[in-house]
Amino acid sequence: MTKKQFVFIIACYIQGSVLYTMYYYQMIGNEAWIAFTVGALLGLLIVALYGRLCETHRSACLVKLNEEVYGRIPGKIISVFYIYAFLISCSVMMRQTGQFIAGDLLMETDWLLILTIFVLICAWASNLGIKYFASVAPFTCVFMYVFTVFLFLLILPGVKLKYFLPVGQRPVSEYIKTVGLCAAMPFSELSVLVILVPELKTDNEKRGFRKQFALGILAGSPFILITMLRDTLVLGPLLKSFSYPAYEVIRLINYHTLSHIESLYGTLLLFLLFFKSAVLFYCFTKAFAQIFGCQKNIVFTAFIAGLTMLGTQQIASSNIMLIELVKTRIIYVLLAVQVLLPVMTLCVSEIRRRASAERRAAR
Amino acid sequence: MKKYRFLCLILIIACAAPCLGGCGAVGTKRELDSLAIVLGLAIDKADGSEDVDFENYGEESDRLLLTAQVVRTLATSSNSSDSESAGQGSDSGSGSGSGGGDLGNTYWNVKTVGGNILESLRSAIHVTNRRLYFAHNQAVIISREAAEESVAKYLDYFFRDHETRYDVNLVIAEGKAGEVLDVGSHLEAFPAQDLSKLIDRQRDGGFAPHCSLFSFLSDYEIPYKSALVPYVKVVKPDDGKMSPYLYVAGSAVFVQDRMVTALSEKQTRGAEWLLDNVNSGVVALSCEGSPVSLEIMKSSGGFRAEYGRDGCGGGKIKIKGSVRATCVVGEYQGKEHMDSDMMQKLCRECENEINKEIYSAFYAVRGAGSDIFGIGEYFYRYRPGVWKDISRDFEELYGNSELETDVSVDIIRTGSLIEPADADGGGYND
Repeated sequence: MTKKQFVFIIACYIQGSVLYTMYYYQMIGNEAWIAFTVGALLGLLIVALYGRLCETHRSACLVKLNEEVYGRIPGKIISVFYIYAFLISCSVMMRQTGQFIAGDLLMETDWLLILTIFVLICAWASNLGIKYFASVAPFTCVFMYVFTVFLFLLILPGVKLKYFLPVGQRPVSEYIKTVGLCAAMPFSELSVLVILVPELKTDNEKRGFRKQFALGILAGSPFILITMLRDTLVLGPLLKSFSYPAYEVIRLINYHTLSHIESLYGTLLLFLLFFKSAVLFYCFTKAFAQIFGCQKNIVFTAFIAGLTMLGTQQIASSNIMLIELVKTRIIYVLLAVQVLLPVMTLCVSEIRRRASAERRAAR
Repeated sequence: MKKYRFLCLILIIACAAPCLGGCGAVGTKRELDSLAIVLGLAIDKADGSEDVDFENYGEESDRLLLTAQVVRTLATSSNSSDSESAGQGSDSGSGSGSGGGDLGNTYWNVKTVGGNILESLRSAIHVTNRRLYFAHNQAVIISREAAEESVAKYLDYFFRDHETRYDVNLVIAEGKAGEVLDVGSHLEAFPAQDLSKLIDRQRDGGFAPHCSLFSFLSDYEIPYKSALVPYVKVVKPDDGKMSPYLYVAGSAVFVQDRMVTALSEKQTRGAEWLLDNVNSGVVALSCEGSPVSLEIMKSSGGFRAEYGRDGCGGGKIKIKGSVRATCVVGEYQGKEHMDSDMMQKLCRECENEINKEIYSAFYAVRGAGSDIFGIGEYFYRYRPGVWKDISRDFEELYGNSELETDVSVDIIRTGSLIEPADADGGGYND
């Protein structure tokens, strides 16, 4: 995998989070795009944090890094927290995708069957290795941008700039909470992609992965931003009413022969969701295997597939429950594990490094 | 190994494809001949006199009578006359305005009764052998009686279901909504199609607004904003020689989601001037006793609202509307020469006429307590600080608001004639 391909993988990973916008709208309505922009800037800081952490420990592998900082057993325990966060992200992603397909694309098909096949396909794709994702990511990223801009132009007659307003009239706590949600989902989820860094070709590329993450965020975030601007300017007061605003807005396109185009958009959206889910699944499986000191293989893949299926079914019983869970619990779990824990790890690492430097100086 | 993986792939696709497409399970695939394509839907309050009698949930007073206009894909005249002569049972829907038993039409109006929309539509399976398919629905017609109670609750089904579209025309019918779908069209094969095209055609005149399900619900969600919905009547000529026809003009005015009054054609256009929805049309006026028609080539309209304290410690909302219209002389039945003075007079008369329409509309909607212009929305979006002060008393403030207009008309052409056809009473005849 080259560094350019890695940038596109990160960009596609962020693009695959397009359905997260419904959570942002639920919290802050028409100002969600502002919160997302701030969340993206915080995402750059989160990535810088991981970069600093990995620079101090050249292994650049999240699990081994924790073992080096905390010791073997405590490090593995800390890594289990990361695994838990990855499982949460994977379950939310799969649940959301399954609900979307069952509710809007394949209405007559049983939801459980859709989920099973989706998980199996993600497992199979992840078994092929990172080469597959690296090869399709550049084209997917660019094509989705072109298609989204095209759809924006088609829906231009329905755009009303007044739907940007009012701005700044909500309590500060709502803004803070939404920025936190945007930073947690999807930007703190990028921590899972640190698992892919050892697969970069050269050591120089492995060392400079902060720049690649930053470029990936800058390449992928505008896609979500364009989608949010489109949804805000067209749906306006109905932003909070729809289950999947990013999909529902396309149903309003009716331009000469171009109508009912949401089925095509749904298919492309499905590929993005699959890309993100499969990459997440791959990294999740690899991290889990590293805890046992093993290489990723079919046994771990099968186990993670079963664990994901279980997690997806148990995480929420309906789409309303999932929205409530994301807004009230999952955001804190992800921020605690994927932001606070690395900060703590960095602090412990610095303290230990200084202590050992002092000991060496004393000798 | 490659062969093994390839075989596994084929096996997975073979197992997954039928399940994902829903092709395997019985009753999950839908062919065209298993669908009853609905082109129009009418919603009335059921009054107990309907032919249909289903066991439905809900109180008698809340029952709805739905009329769904379904496309008949069978061959028409010769086949239907054959089936008529063979004899058939009664059907609960009628296919023509005269009612009962006519199978020669290209459509069938299926009537169902129920406590809510989804229940009523599903109970159509008692009379149709196909499931109603709404993806091609073109109009939702609600009777005035139902609209005066509430409209938003009926729209939930159209937004919640995955088949229905949001850009479908919403229309209010003066009498029974189901009657509108019984009126045979002079130009189209289906009354629903005729109605939909009729509504789209109103853009040429500005005498009826355009309202879709999406725009109605958007307006309903905005604080105090109300919708303006086109109004349709069934006209039955007295002489009996001509068949009934649809007349779309005027509009239904809403407060929140209840209809409160109706505007005439000119009042509707008065409202549309300020809403910047007049793109075309004709302004008929009288200039020095002669009838004149000016054709609107383009126009732009809008308003600003201000809130100021009056001397007594209360507040007042002032609305400043502005309209710019560009017209050409379409017809002049006078004898006067067309010079610059005449053109100025025509401009002034046109401005007066537009002003009259605007003020007539404003006083009518203000009197009904309806904010179709979005005055409340203006403060909510552009003056949020002021909105915090006035939101609680907005209804009272709006009821006492004042309007000032600034209308400007430019007449840029006189058509192919410079002098009127009846100039100076004709030429001299020796």
